Amino acid sequence: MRVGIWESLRQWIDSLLEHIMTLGHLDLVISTSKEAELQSLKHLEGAVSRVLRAPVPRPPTGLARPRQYLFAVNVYRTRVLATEMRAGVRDRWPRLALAIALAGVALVGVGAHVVMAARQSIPGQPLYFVKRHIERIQYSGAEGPDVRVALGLAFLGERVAEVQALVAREDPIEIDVVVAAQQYSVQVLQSAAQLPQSQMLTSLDYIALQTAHYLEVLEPLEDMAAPSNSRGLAQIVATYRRLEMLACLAQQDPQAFRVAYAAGRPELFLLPQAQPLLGPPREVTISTRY
Amino acid sequence: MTSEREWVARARQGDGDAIASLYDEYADRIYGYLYRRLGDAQLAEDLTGDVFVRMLEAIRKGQFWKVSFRAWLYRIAHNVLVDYFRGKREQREFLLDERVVGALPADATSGGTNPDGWTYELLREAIRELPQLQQLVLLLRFGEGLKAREVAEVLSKSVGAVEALQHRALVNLRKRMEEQT
Repeated sequence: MRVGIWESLRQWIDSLLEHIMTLGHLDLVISTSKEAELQSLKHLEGAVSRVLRAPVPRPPTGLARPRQYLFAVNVYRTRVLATEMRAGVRDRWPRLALAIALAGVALVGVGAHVVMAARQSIPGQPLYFVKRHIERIQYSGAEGPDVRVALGLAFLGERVAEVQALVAREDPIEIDVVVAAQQYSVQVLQSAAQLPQSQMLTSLDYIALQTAHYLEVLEPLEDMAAPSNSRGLAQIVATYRRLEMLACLAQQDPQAFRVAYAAGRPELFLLPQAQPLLGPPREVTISTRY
Repeated sequence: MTSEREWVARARQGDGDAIASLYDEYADRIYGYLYRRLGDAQLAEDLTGDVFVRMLEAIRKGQFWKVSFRAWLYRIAHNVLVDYFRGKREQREFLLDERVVGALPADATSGGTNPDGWTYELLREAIRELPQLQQLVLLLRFGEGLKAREVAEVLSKSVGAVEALQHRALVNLRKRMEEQT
């Protein structure tokens, strides 16, 4: 009986051990399976990593712009200015530069057009003041008395052309035209007086010749001018005649001319007074004897 | 004291060299992360600037990281993206933009196959079909190379949650790949 008990106990222990062995095998199978799964996932991780780490295209500025932005924030201690700076770098500056360039081109274009139109203008027209202004700038910017003589004569020629146009259109000759002609005639002589002796004489000769040419144009106009323009035209003609005569007279007495005009005192070099051919009118008495 | 801590300490004083060092060290990574989320180089560049400006502002306020500077920076980038999408009222359905395909490795785009028999293109499509959070965990773990605890800081989750998300994502991926092949 006791042997039977021990035998059954031994069998039970054997079966238990066998069971444990079976469980161990199962555990081994399970652990092998888990290892394979982990291996598989590890392999997948590598593939996922390869896909997700693919290189990305570089930004257009190579990340320089965010760097500038960051430094601007650091310097200005505020985002507002830095944001403006960043926006300015990318958006506003090119637009602003383009706008400035376009405005510049437009300004130059309009300016050139205005200058061209002003050069053709005559007194009484809106752009005439621009023409006169340009003349003043040109004259004040001219270097050397010889250039100023040439420019002054050219402007006197402009006045002649203007008078021609005004007479043709029967528009009044403005006093400004007369004054401008008088100013240029004085300035031309003053510039000539600043030249060396030989050049001064040549210039005076040139002034006389050129003025004579202008008078050839102006004098016939006196017959064509409307009565309202006769006074203005007469003043213009007198101005040119006076210039011609002074230029001729200066060639005869260059020293006196230089002393007067180079010193800015043209009143010292005057034209000789016209001498009357006859004396003052005497009272006519009618004899009653005849 | 790590060099990052030194740089941050100097950056707090407005030291331009320290700020430049931090930027040069991390700008490419942050840009790459943002580009992978957005698929737009210009936008990613702009937001990279925003990330570093926020970093600078946080440094000035004395805010520091818990796990690592890198994780902290990615967290800022993540928040910048969240704000951007909130401001735009735009929700991206997919994590990876179509344009990223062009930047995949040569064998990934030219139908290169894995030893298991599937292509990288197929894998990319499978990743795109994952839930967004799982995509994000995969991107941060395997795309950006962050550790699980760093990803946990970026996403404000526990390390266990991140590991679970990662495991689930990989299992899902494997299942999808097996279905496809």
